[in-house]
Parts: sequence; structure tokens; C-alpha cells
Amino acid sequence: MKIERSPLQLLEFLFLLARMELKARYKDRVLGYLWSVGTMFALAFVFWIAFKIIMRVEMENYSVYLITGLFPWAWLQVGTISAARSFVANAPLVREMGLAHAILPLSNVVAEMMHLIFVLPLVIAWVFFAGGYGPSVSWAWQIPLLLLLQVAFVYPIALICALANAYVRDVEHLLGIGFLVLFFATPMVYPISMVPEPLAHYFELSPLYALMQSWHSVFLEGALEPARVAYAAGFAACVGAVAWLCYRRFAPRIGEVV
Amino acid sequence: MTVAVACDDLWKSYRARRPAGLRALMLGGTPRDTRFARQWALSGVSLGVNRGRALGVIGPHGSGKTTLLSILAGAIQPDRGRVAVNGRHASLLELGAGFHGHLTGRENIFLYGSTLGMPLKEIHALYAHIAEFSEMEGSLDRPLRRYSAGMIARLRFSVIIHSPADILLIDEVLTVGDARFQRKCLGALRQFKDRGGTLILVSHDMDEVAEVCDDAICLDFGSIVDAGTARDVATRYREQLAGRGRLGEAAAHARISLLVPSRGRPELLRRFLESTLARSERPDLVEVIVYADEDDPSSHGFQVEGLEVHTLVGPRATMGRYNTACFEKSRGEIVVIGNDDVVIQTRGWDRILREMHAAMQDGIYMAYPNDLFKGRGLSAFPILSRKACETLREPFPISYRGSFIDYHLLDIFKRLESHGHRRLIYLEEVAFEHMHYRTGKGDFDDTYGRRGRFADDRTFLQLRDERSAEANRLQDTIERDTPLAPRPVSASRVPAASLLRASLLDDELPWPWRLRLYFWFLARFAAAFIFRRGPSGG
Repeated sequence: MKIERSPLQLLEFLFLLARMELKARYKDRVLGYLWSVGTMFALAFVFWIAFKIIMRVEMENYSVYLITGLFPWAWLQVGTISAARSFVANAPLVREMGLAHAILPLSNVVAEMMHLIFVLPLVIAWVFFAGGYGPSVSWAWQIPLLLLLQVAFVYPIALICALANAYVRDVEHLLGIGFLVLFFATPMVYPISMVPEPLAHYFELSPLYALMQSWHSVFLEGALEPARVAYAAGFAACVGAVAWLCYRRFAPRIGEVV
Repeated sequence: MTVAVACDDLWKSYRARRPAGLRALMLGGTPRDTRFARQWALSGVSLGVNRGRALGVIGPHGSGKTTLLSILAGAIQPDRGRVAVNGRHASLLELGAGFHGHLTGRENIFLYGSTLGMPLKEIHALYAHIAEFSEMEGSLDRPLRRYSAGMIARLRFSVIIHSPADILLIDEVLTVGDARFQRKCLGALRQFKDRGGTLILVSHDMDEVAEVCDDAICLDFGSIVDAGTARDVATRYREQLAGRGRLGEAAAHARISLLVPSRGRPELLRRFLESTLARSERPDLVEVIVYADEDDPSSHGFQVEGLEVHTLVGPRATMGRYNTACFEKSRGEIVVIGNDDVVIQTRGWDRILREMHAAMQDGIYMAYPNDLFKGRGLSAFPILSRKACETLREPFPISYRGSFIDYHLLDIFKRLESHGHRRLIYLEEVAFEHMHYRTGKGDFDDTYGRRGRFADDRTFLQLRDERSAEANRLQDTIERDTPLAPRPVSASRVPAASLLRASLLDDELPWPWRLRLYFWFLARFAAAFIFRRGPSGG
């Protein structure tokens, strides 16, 4: 007993929900945007001190490497964690919509993507000033492709987490720990060349690494390795299938558990 | 005529309710919903509503009305049975919630409209009508968190009545808001029906049902016990209630006493009294006992026409003594421990209390309303029968200076629960909005400061044996058996030891409650330590 919506209406609905998320995130203030950007740059600065000054990472354009990894990662992490809360936080909406619409976690993921898009000019400016080279023409298709890839990558994970969190509320806390581990297990604030040999092999297998490395290579080399994109996309498709099964199995009862 | 809504042989139980977290998984389930000892919220309900008709759903508190509506709306799934809804439907199921606090009223109209499946263009076109209907054009650019529950309910109704739905499912949300706006809503519902819309309305108000609905069903214990034209069913239900009154005359016309200690905030007190009067169905059966301090003349002698208000003036004392003094002065069968920073939001709250009271035959229960903030989690305003109060040796121990009395009573009833008598009743649809959370404590509230925020922690822990004995007294009254001697646990002067004895190691308490007390007190001790006030200060 779903409310019928045309694709256009779905998009409108998604837009309204995502705008709501963004408003909540910026807390109705322009400063909110500056704060969330500033926090990320401060974090990047801390890592720069830790890895460049103290641990002496040998790498060209390390600050560009840091910035271009941290922002997409923040999308991944914040998007998933906020999406995990989406059914619970919007419980009345879930109950009155009849079915737990898969659109709720998607709106969180899209809101975080919008945030990344808002930040992109700053990132590009950073690349220009710190790296010394301007935007390349190929970014015009590479960046949108990566945005799409990451939505496809994050959304199924976010959907599974949101469903799980509706049934067991501790998932959102566990996610925080999980992301902390993944953050350091994915070569992103340090180059993979720093990882000792047998481990590096496993690190390279991580689909997260493929995704993050794609961002890096676009901004650092203006190139996109098809194998990495395909690997990440393949992973996204597999998780997508699992997410779809979970959704079909668990969504009908969600109105009762949130 | 075509069938718009139909269901066949619906069954629903709430036994596996709310898996709340790992804690629940590890400890084997959360405390179950204790509302009346019923297993099935719905058992074998079938009905059909034709297009253009309006069906009223009536019945006593907890009879399955809301469950039925939620299933028809698709919000929850039945355990068994089929539901068919032919057409676009929209539902108003929940009180006070549903919108987003950080968005403005205007943005919420768009979001909610879109939730209901309206295209943006259509919402733009209807926006002026919606705003006009809600009569809140002036405040639509304010964020929703500044709205009262009544305003939110108004806004939601305004959107839903303009949505293109041809089936409306409406729970008692209309009871929030003033009487004039309620009339306007009923008028709009009739127009909706005249346009060919189908309506299912859950209500406690028999006049409303008889006026708006064509047919009605009456539910009791999850089954349809009466069906027919709305007027007939409503009349029979009224007679049945009156009949129940003959069985227990006192119960059906039970008098309600609100105990309200107040200090230094006459505006809030007046607001509370006015909401009490406005939302009561039988204000003649409601009395308010206000306690005001001698040195606080601003709170003396409040009168609201149409409501019986007694003001006790006395020395400054502890909260326990205030409540005890008010209780001694009160005459009602049902005793509500209230507060002056409350606004009663539910129309007919008094009838719901009376029905609940009548259903609890031995009169031993503790009910608590929805404070629209913590909801089920907190029982800030306990509701007890006079009998229960008199069974307890000291229902409001005078040694409590501040606000621990609700925890004290809750703890007693949790103990009773361990003895196998589930008598805690959460009245979700009775909204006592606690302005405390909306207004903050404010400058007028020096009582909090003077009392010492952590002054009552030790009192609570020291009264552990007393609570154990109180729970036994209640159990005796229920079972009419030989009294059990309380099992004393030697009191300790060491806070940590008394905490363990009154929480984690206290096997008279259900486990979730033990854990909650334990961690909550730990947090309070830590806070007391940080603020350098010490739990024994005051």
C-alpha cells in the first residue's frame, strides 16, 4: 500500500529531504557551512603535521593528497552514519509513509554529496595554490563519474545500516568505531608505499581503497584507472544486491520497530 | 458502490515489541507493554467501508482502535489477515510529532505535502489555502520547534485536508487544539466526504462520531463488539458506559484531583489551570489543589471560573510535604501529581483517565501521561487511585525535597511488576506538555537552585526498604493475602554500597530497571562531584 509517486515526484521528495538534512547540518547559518569546511581543513592540518613533519612521509603534493582524500571520506562516513539514523530519526515519517521508504537514507547520502559539491571549489582552489596546477578539462567528466560511483557505493551500505539500526539501536555507535578502523586501514592520509609488504597487498584489495585512490588519481594525475573504477563499481553492485534483499525482507516491519 | 477500505480477519499482538538495542537482546527482551492484561491488540477484525462513507471507530482506552487504524494505514503489519485500500490515502496517526523542528512551518508544509505524494507544483498552488486554513499565516516563517503541539496538529490537519487523498485515516489527533478549530476541522471533514472522500475516524467524542460519521464500530479487547449506524452505536456505547457506571458508580463518575505545588510563576499556573478547564470534558468532576508558599503572594488565591481550585497556603517545605498536604486536602478518586509548568493538551483527558480507572477493578495502578518529550521513558506526572495512595503508607515521602517522587513511585510499581502484577500504564494519548523543556528553567525558578540539585539522591537510596514494603502492601491488596514482611536490606552510610543495594543487587526489581537506576545514579554522583555540591548538600 504505497503512495504512488511519479519519478519526478520522487526526485522532488528526495530534494526536499536532502535540503532538510543540509539545513539541519548547517543549523540555518552560513557560518554552519564555514564551520564544517573549517573543521575538515583543520583535520587535514593535523594529519599534515603528524605525517609530513613528524613521520616524514616522502611524497610530492602531500597536502593535496590529504585534502582530496579527506573530503570524499567525510561524505562516506558522515553520510553513512546519518543515514543509519534516518529511519529512527524520522520515525513518524516512516510510520505515516506506510512503508519505510528507501529514499530516506538516500536523502542523507545525497545531502552529503551536495556538501562535497559545495566544497569542491575550495578543494580545486587548494589544488591550484598548493599543488600549482589548475583544473584539468578531464575533471569535467571524471568528477561527476566519481560522484555517481560513490553514491552507488555508499547508498547500499547506508541502507543496510539504516535497516539494522532500526532493529538494533547500537549500530550507529558501532559504525563510529568501524569507520575509525577503516579510516586508518585505508591508505588515504598516508601513501600505500608506507605499508609493509605483505599487508600492503591486503590493503590494496579493499574496495574503499579503490574508491579513494580514484579520487586521488583524478586530482593528482588527472587520470582515472578503469580497473579501480570497475572494482569499486562491482563491489557496489554486490552490496546493492544484498541491500535490496535486506530491504525486501526487513522494511515491511520497520514501522513497528522505529 | 465500490469498497474503498476493507480488511478481513485481522490479528495483531504486540508481544515482540520494540527491540530496543543490544541490551534488550542480551537480557532477553524489554519490559512488555503493560496496558491491561491483554494478549491480542486485535483479534479477528473484519470490516468494509464504501467510497464516500465515513466510519467511526470507538471503544474504551486500549481496545485496539489505534492499532486497527495503523494497520489500515500500512504503518504496521498485521500478524494475520488481509487489508485492501483502493485509492490514495493519507493518515494522521500521531500526536505532536511528524514534522521537523528545524524547518519553518512553510518548509514543513512542503515536506509534509511531498510525503503525502503531492507534486511540488500542486503544493505551490494550494499553499495559500493551506496557510489560510491553518490560521497561522503570521507564524509560518518561524522554525517549528517554537510551535506548540496544538499548532503543529493544526498545520498537519490543514495540509492533509488539502491533499488529493480520497481516503483519510484520522486518529484522535483532533483532540489537540481549541474547540473552535476542532469545529472547523469537523466541517472540513464533512465537506471532504461530500466530495466523495472516504473517512475513517477514531474518536472518543460520541457527538463528533454521530455528527461526522455514517457508520461506526465499537471495539473492545481487540474485537468488534458493536456495529451499525454511527448514531446508534454512539448511543449504545454511551448507555453501556452509563451501565458500567451503575456497576461501579464511583468509577464512571470518578472525581479527579490534581495536586499542584507552585512557586513564583503565576503566569504558568494560570495557563495550567486554563488548559485544565478547556480540555476537560467534565470540569465539574475535576478539582485542583494548589500549594503556594506563604512568602509568595503572587500565587495565592487563583480562581478560574468553572473549575474548582483550592489554594493551600503554608510554609516553605519539601516537595514531599507539598504533595502530602495537597493530597490530604483532596477528595478525588483519581489523584494526579501535577506541576504548574504543565499544559494539558488532550481534549477529554479526564474521560480517558476515568475509563482507565474504571477498567482497573482493584484500583491498584500507576498511570502516567505523555509529557511530549520523554514519553514512555519518564513518569513525571504519576496518576494513582485514592485507594492506591491510601494503601501506601507514605505515597509522597516528605523527606524528598525536590523531584524524586515520581521515581520513588515508579520504583515501587516496578517492584510490584516483579511480583507478577503489571500495573504501570502509559497513557500515550494523554498529553501533559511539560513546558519545563520548552521554556527552560528560567529566572523565576529559584527552587531548583536552593534545593540542591542532587539533594534527593541519598534519600532515594535510603528509602529502598520502605519501597520494598510499599510494593508488598500493594501486592497484599491485590491478592488479599497475608501480608508479607518486607525483606530488609541493611542500610549503609556508604553511598556506593547503598546504590548497589537499591539497584543492581536488588533482586526485587526487574533487570532493565536495575540497570537504568544504577547507571543513572552513577551519572548523577559524577555530576554532583563535578559541581562540588555533594549528594547530601541542599
